[in-house]
Amino acid sequence: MAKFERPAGLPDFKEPPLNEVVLGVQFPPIEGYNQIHAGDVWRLFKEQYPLVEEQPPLAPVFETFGPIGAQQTPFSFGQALMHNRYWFIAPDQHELIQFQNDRFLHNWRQTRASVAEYPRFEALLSKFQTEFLRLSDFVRTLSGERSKQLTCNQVEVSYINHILLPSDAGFDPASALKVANFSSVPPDDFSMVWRRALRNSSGSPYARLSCEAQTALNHKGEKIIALTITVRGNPSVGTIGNVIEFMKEARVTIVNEFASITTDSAHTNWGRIM
Amino acid sequence: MTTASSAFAAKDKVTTPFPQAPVRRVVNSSVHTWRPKILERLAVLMQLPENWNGYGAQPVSAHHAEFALSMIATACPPDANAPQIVPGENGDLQVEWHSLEYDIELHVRAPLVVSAVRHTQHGCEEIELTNDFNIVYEWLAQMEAAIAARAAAA
Repeated sequence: MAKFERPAGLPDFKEPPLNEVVLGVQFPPIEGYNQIHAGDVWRLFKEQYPLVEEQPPLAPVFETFGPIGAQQTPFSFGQALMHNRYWFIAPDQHELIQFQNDRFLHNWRQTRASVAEYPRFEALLSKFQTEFLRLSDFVRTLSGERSKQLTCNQVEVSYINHILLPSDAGFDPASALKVANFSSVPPDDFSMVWRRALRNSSGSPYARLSCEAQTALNHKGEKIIALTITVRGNPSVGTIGNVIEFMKEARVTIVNEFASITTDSAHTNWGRIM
Repeated sequence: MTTASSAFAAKDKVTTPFPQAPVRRVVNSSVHTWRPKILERLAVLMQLPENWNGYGAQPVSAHHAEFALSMIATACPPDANAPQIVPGENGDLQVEWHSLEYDIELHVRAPLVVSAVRHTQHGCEEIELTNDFNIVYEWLAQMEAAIAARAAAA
C-alpha cells in the first residue's frame, strides 16, 4: 500500500489541540446488502477492531451549490427507513470504523480514559485506504460482479479541535480565535458557523468548507472552544484513487484554515513547527 | 460540539454546550415559503412501496429524496413557488415549475446526475448538472419576475 507524505510547508504543531479526526465516504446503498451481512463486514475488520456498538444511521448528505448566501442551513429527513450504523472499535478505543450500507468512515479520537498522541493524517489515510479496499472487495462478492466497485458520491474530512481557554478569564475566545474578537466585553458564551465553497481550477464548486466554533466545558470542567472544520464534497470520480486525492486536498485546506483563524499566541502554546 | 459522523456524537461526550433557551418568539420567519410543501411531498414519496404503479416501479430512495431536497434548497429563490415533484419508474424524480412564460424541469436521474430543461416561447434549453444549480436559480428568478410583471400589468 502506498505511503503518504506530509506536504512541504503545511503548518504543523507539536501538540495540536485535536480531539478527533474523521475520514469518510458516502456511496449509493450497496446492492444485495441486508442487515444480516453486518456480521460479515465486521469479520473483515474484527482483528484490529474487536469491539462493536450499534448506532442510529447517518442520513445521506449532499453538498450542492447556488448563489452565495442563497442556501439556508441544511435540513434533512433524518434516519427514516435506513439500515443501522455499526462502530467497530479498536481495543484502546482511540480508533474506530463506522459502517452502514451507504457510509464508511475511519475515526481517530481522544478518550476520557487515556490521552493518545495524534498518529497524524498520513497514517490514518493509509488505514482508511486499506480498510475501504477490503470493504470494496467484499461488496463485489455480494453483487456477484467482480468488476463492481464502490463508487463514492461524497467524501468528508473533519478535524475537531478542543481549544483550552485560560482558566482565569471568562469565555473570551479572542486569545485563540482571530475570527471571534469581541473587544473589551467578551460574551458569556458563543456559537458561530461559517462556510464557503471550494472550487477547482475551472472555477466550478466541488466541495464546501464548514467551520463551527462553540464555547463549551470539557469533562474536567475546563473552558474550551470546540472548533470543528469539515470539508465535504464530491470527488471528480468516485473511485478510491480520487477519494484519496480529495482527502489529501481537504486536509491541506483544513490545516491552512485552522492556522489562519487561530492566533499566534495559541500557535506558540501548541508548539508550531512550520 | 460534534458533527454527525463524529464518534462522540452518540456517547462519551466530552463537551457540554451551554443550555440555550428556545427562541420561537419571532414570527416573521426567514424560512423559504416552499419548504413545508417540499418536505411533506418528499416524505410521501419516500413511503412509496416497490411496484407502486403496478408496472414494477422502484421506490424513491432516501438518497434521491435527500439530494432533491438539497438541490431545491440551493436552486430555489426564497419566494419562489413550490415545485411539483413526480416520481419516476426507476426511483428517479422529476422536479417541475410551470408558468405561462416558462416550464422548468429538473430530472434527478440519480444524486448528482440531473438533466435540466427550460422551455420558453423562444425555444428550449437543456443542460446536464451535478452539484452546481446557479443556472436554475437564475431561471427561477426570471420566472418569478415574469409572473410578477404579468400580475402587475393585469
